[in-house]
Amino acid sequence: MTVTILDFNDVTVSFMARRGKTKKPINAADHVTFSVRKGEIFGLVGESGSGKSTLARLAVGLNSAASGSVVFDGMVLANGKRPRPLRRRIQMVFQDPFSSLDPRMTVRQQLMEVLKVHDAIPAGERAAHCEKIFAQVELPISLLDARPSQMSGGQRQRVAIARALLLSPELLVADEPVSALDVSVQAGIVQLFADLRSQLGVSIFFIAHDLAVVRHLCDRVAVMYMGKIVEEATTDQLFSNPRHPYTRALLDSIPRLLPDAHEQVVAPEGEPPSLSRLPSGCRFRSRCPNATEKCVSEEPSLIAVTSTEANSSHLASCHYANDLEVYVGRNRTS
Amino acid sequence: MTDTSISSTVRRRRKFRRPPATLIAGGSIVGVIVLLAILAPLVTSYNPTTINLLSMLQGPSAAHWLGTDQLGRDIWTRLIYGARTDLSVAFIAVLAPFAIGTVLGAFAGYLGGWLDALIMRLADVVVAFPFYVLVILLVFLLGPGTSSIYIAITVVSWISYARIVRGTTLVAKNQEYILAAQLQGFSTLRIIMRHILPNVISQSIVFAMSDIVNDILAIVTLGFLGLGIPPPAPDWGEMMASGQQFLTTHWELTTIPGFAVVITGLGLSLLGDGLNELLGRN
Amino acid sequence: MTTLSSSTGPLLQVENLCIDVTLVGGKKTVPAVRNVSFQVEAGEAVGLVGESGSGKSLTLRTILGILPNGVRATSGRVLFEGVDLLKAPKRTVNRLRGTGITMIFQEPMTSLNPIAKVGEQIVDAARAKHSWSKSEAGEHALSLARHMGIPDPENTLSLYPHELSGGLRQRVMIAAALACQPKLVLCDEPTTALDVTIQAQIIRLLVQLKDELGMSMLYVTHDLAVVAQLCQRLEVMYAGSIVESGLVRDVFRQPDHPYTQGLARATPDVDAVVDQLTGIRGNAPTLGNWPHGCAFHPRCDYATDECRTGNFPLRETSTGRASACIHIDRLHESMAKEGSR
Repeated sequence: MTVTILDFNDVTVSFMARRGKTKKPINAADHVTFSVRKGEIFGLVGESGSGKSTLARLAVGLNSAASGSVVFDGMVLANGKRPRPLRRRIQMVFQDPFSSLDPRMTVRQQLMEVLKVHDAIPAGERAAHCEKIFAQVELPISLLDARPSQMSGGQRQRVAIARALLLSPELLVADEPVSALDVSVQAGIVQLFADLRSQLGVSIFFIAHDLAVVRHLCDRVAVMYMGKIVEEATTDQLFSNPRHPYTRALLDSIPRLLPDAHEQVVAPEGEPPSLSRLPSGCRFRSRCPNATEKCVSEEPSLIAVTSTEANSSHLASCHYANDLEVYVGRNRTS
Repeated sequence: MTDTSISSTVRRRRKFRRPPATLIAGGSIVGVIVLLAILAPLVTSYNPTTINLLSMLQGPSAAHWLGTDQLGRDIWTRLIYGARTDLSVAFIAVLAPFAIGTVLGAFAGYLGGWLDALIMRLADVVVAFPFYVLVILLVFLLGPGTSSIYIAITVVSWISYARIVRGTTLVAKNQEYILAAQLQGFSTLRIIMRHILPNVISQSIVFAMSDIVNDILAIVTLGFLGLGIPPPAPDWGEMMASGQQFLTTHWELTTIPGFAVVITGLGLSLLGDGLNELLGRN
Repeated sequence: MTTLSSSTGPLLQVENLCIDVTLVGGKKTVPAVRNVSFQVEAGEAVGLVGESGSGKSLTLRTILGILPNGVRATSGRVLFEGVDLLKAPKRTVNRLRGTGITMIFQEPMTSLNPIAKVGEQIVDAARAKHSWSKSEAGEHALSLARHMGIPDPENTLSLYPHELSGGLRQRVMIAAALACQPKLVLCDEPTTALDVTIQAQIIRLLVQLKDELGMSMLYVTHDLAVVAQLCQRLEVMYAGSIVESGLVRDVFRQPDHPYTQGLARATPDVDAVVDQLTGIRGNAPTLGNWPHGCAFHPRCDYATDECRTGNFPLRETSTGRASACIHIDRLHESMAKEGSR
């Protein structure tokens, strides 16, 4: 029995959106179900409008679920204000390293404040604890007395991660933590997340739009489109055998560093539909090269992808998930 | 993704950078005036209130640098002591509206809801009347006296601070570090006092500088109308008022204090601009 | 000033361009771009690659003279069809905008007029240079829109920018930029803010347009992979200078500069079987804090004492390739040892 740390059970999050003169509720996340296992790094991938950020915020209590439930370590999370002990156990790292730290306080002041408010560590030990965490994120102690404006983007992000680690959380929710960083700095932060998981055993819920980063970091991945999960699998399964046309389109769209000379740029057709005017049946059908009449009339649900592995948990939300031809992808060699 | 603003790519070093010219100019002017006011007894040996009917309306001389007024009092002395009175009342008068307005504005901006609506409606009412009219009216109703001046100015001015701070708070509260603080379970009070206020207060301070000018003008106007700081304390407004009857013969009685008001106002405005620039750099 | 293009010499030639920035506060002026030289031939797409602070955006904006306050080109030449744009009178530069050179920006929301319908904006762009009637320009706008893959052009063009998606806005901006059939299109990270599937569509469109219309492109980006899809040649910038230059396929197969190698390695490969992502240690230097000697040396695995002082201009390494590094042989040796990617 795999133990899960975070479960989304048939969760729907809706907002009121203005469309012209009328206000309509739209479901940013629509009947979503998946789980993050203890000690794993789970990647949630999608483009804008997919609902991934909505779910990240739901996990930390910034949103409310209109229906369904979010379960943390076996305990159902109610909507609304959370008690402090719970906040300690789930921490968040934000996307923008420039605005996620108070520009006027030194790093030390900000870290000590967190410790003071939660009062989980005796006053005398707090300074030492800060230094220990700082070492864990590979920052020199001298930066403790610096202000965020004196640090680079990568350093600030490490400080943000340090702040999240102060109270020894069991779950880290990372909302696109490397998207705003230069690529040469990105690798260090990604490696840091991997190291934190192996050293501290913390589970990581990693939201990203960059599939390449996810491939290098995550154990399992779920792909979202227009508020729904369209595919869920282990990283290996997803990248070697994607079974949803959207996942394939996403993989094909990513530019490669060494394209073959004769290769055309591959791109899916059309635009994603608006969340307030979703097409009937499958949400991806307007852009899918394999769409049939069944796709127009019947919305698919997540079905198991047949696999030779035992206990495979590869799911895809396509009527033809098991009938698609083998994915060759753009990579000829490896 | 890429941060292309030039200023934020510079690492701040503890290097001395010349302060803005306006700050230096304004600071010097105000500095001189304040210094003179503080050192009044050292700068002049006369008593500003002693009446000496034997030396009325004398022109400038070695004994009386700026001459004497209609009651034989040394004008230079009254000018300096007037600075003391007017400036100290103005500085004190600006503190209460600054404190009250800033805090209320931050709460209104952060919490929204009924508090925000209430403050905004109050602001609409107060703003409908010209500043001086309201202040004069209130002092008139409360009876002349220094405490009336404080009360009147506070009641009328706090709104401006509240509006400014509410605006900057609305922007600040969407920053991710505020979100992070909320997620950590920090109390609303802590968030507002320790994370919002320090980041929005600079605008309020800059406004306070220009508000002092308004307050000085209000005090002087009240003095001119006979509603100001009660005699015998010397006050530029009262000096200007009583000098009116001598405008054709001894225009300096009115003009000199008037000039002092102008220079003080100029100095404070420059100081405010300089502060604005300095704080803007950070 | 004749306008025969592609007959002699490159379309755009930048020579020893230096740009200075006056820091906030007005007291200090620091270099942002140092002695940058490169060229763009007719019909060629050149990528200008670098991370934040490399000076690539400023270099691009200097060409059209749209630098922000406090930023100035202090020396060098920017020759477009032989005319130095830095010294030419404003009239001349203005005449070139639209038909000679245009620009596509990163954020279409701020570069399109929010209170004008998008169709009008394309029409305005067209009529600025050609003496067409409104209906002629309207027809031209419609056909441009169709060409850009804008669905249902008649209706879409009557919408306002905020009513369109990011991808559509970008297509509108491209249409407006191309309305006058320019010879050179400057692109300032036009796909960075777009979703990856939309980015792929835009890149495909740009490749197609470049081939069809034979226009040249100077494409600024931080994303090496995008350059690989779009450009024939690239210039890699670091701390205000070009550190490597060459054909895209050559440079990526075997970089001639440690920074290019580091950048290529740090770009996560979605097809890779490699477990670890390697970044470049240290941090990029900020304006005014560039290290002496080779600006990259504090972060370089191959740096020696020689790298700490002196200048390191681009030197030709083989036909059509240049690098600023003096330890290329060591770089290649160590790459050969690791095996190729």
